Amino acid sequence: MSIWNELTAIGDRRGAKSSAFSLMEHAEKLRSSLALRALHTPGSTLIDAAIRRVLQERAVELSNDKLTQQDLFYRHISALGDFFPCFVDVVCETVANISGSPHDKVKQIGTAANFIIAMTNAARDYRARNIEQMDQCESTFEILPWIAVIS
Amino acid sequence: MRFLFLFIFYYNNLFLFLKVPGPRSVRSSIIRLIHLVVEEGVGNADDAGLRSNLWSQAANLADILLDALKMYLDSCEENPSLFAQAKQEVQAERSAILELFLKGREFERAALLAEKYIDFGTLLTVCDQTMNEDKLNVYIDKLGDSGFTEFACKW
Repeated sequence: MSIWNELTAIGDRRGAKSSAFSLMEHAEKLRSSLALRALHTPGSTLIDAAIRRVLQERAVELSNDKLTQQDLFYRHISALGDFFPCFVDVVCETVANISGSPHDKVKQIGTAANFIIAMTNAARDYRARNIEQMDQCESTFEILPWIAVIS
Repeated sequence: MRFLFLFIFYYNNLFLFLKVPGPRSVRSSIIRLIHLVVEEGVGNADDAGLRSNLWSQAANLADILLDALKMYLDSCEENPSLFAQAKQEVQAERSAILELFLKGREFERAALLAEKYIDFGTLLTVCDQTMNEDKLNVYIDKLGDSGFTEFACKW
């Protein structure tokens, strides 16, 4: 039986990819989400606005009083990639609307960059620590990390 | 009145890249953020320390993205046609990112990234712009086996 070979790959809209790599990707996104959550303190207006934007783009509505926008966002971290363009849009709009104070612009940009660096470093550090496990799984598929996907 | 109209038109378009939603991928978002840090952040920072911090952030973001692209390229090695296509794509992306550091005269940061991700063009540009022949010789010794010498001769 060749069922083991069938289990080594899964398909998505980009084509087939290694199961091991796919699992690694989910683990990276989990680490990246944890990094975001650690930064997501009360008053994090950029992150709050970005999360609202993500939910709008996904057409997710607050239909349950017990679930906040944060709950709706963090329960779907496999689609964490949605956060990045919304966050950068929010940062760009915020910076564009700041008038008269270059220092405030610089501060917002610096803060935003630190958020993204923390999130992507968390993913990369996890990958670096666990890459050997993935290498042990035989794979003939190319590996395109979720951070480098173009669409 | 015409002057006022033209002024309003150009002012609104000056910040258009900040107002228009960008491409919807993580890669494009990181590249957009690097541009924002370099063009708006460094451009508005009045303190050398602040500018250095921002360049450091830009380099950090570039490193993360280039690392992911390198992983992709390495994984394509066993498929010659895919590797050739991926190499072209990755080289173009890498050169565009490193060009930001060269334009900002951040030669040291550009050189560190170029050495790590084997961007010969950037290394040669750095040596040329800084007129540093010693550095060029170091790269020839280090990277000669990787085709750097041949590339330098053609460059």
